[in-house]
Amino acid sequence: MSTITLTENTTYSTLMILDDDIIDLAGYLLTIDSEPGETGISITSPGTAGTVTLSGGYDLSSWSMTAGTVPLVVTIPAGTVLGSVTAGSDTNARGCTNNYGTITTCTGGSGSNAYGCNNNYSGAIITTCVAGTGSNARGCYSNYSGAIITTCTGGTTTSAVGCHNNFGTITTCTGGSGIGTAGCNYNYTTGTITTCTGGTNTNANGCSYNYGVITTCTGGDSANAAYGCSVNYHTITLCTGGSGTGSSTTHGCNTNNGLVVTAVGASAGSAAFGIKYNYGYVWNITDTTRLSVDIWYSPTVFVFGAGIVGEIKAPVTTIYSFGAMNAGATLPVGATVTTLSTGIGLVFAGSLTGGFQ
Amino acid sequence: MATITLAANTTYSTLMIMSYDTIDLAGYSLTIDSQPYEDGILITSPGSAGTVTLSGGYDLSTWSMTAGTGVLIAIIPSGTELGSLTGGSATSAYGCSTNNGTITTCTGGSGGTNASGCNTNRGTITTCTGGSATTAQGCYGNQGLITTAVGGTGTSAFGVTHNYGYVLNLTDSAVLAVGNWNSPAVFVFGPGVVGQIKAPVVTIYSLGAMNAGATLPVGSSVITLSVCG
Repeated sequence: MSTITLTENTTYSTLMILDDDIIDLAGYLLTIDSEPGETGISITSPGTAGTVTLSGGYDLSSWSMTAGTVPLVVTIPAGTVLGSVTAGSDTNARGCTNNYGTITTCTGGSGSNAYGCNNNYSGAIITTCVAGTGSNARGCYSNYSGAIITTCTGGTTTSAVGCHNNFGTITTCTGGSGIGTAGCNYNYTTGTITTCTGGTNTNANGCSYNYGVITTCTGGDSANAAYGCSVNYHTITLCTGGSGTGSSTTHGCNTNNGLVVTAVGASAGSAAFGIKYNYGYVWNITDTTRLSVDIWYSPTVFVFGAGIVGEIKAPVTTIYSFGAMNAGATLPVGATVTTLSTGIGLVFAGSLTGGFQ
Repeated sequence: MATITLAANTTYSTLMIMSYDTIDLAGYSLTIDSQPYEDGILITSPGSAGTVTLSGGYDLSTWSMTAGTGVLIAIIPSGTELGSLTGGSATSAYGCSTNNGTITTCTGGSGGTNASGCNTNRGTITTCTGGSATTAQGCYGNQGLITTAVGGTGTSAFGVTHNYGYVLNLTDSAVLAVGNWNSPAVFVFGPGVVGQIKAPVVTIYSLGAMNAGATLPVGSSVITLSVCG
């Protein structure tokens, strides 16, 4: 476990290193030009502008790399398997600029805009993206269509975001412990996210700004306003209030401007609604201890009647219901219900595109 | 049909007017502080930034109001019924900033960009029509119900843009009835859709068959509904 400090630009094949050694780039360039045999190597360049070039897709699954004052690796090629990539200490000192490979962990740095992994293209696979401590130091920035991330986690400092700009596939986004620390920020049209869960501080949202498709948004379980999803413009299958206590407002979804298939109020939490502000469409609701939807805006709503097990509130006055209303529905005084049918005996299947079977 | 020109900030209850009079705010504020009984009153403030405050939700269903050079009404309270509301003649001279009531006709302005009839609608508007000035939308942001949207004549003077709520019928002119859609699912009255529904809409629930004049996003599907019984 010695530290090898470079004194000039070097290639891996000329370097004498042993398992678990540390390579301090000391501002120089290290070119990895063949498949390494050593495991557990750490590459660093503290306080200097060291860089690494990968000549091919090598197995570096037990290696870790941390940027210094500039981006460490310009391109991680397809076929690369890397343990961890961490951004550095200066502005824009990213772990990598472009990634096509497989990485276990990408972590933001302490510098401003120091992303762990920037630009993850189709074929890239990342297990975990974690926000850094610098301003806007995202774990991963821009996950494009065809790229896959398993977990994105917000950080400990204000506004520390795990993953920013998703066009691809993410399994889990979780808010952090700092204020405004989204797990995922901006999910675009082609982007899909399975689960968004609020963190442990104010606006530590699982996901903020959804223009794509999210399966489940669940509020956090702490005593803070940590939403599962903060602003929805497209489609969310399920918004469920969190189990936060005290003064918590851990709503499943804070603002819906798009379509939420089902909203469910929290079974605990002081005021954790499935949806706090609904400007868009909600098709099914299930009230528990808390309301599924707290504040409605449109005087007209279109719902799936059998799925209304809870209260629809003023200013709603006109309810178009596909099928008869559930006996568990509570409607505003004076509201009228118009029951709709496709006329051909079809039953709603609950798919996101509203298919019938 | 006289024109009463204000010379100071005034309340309705101290004003001497008769049905079908015109009130020129002349840059002053008029507070409507009780339920009026006159019909057909027209409120204007041409060339000046007059304002109207509604102290409660009154029946003004035969009244018309047009903004001058500033926002005419900040908030139209729930319970209000207003005949027509029109944007003004200067940039962002909205008819109202927020509508929580019911308006028969909301129209964009004629002389200023962004002079929408209603900047944000959280209530009910029967018809929202774009104006003749650039981006003078009938309604800028709809979070409520608009029965019919009609495109205007000014550049991007949509009937409605940023539609988060319900627009049931739409009629495009040279300008789209609805500029920006938000929800991937919409509920419309099919026979009344004479214009373009755009992405990100992917699912259209149509009460009755869609009008032949409807243009739908590529790949979208229409589910036709009928009223039971």
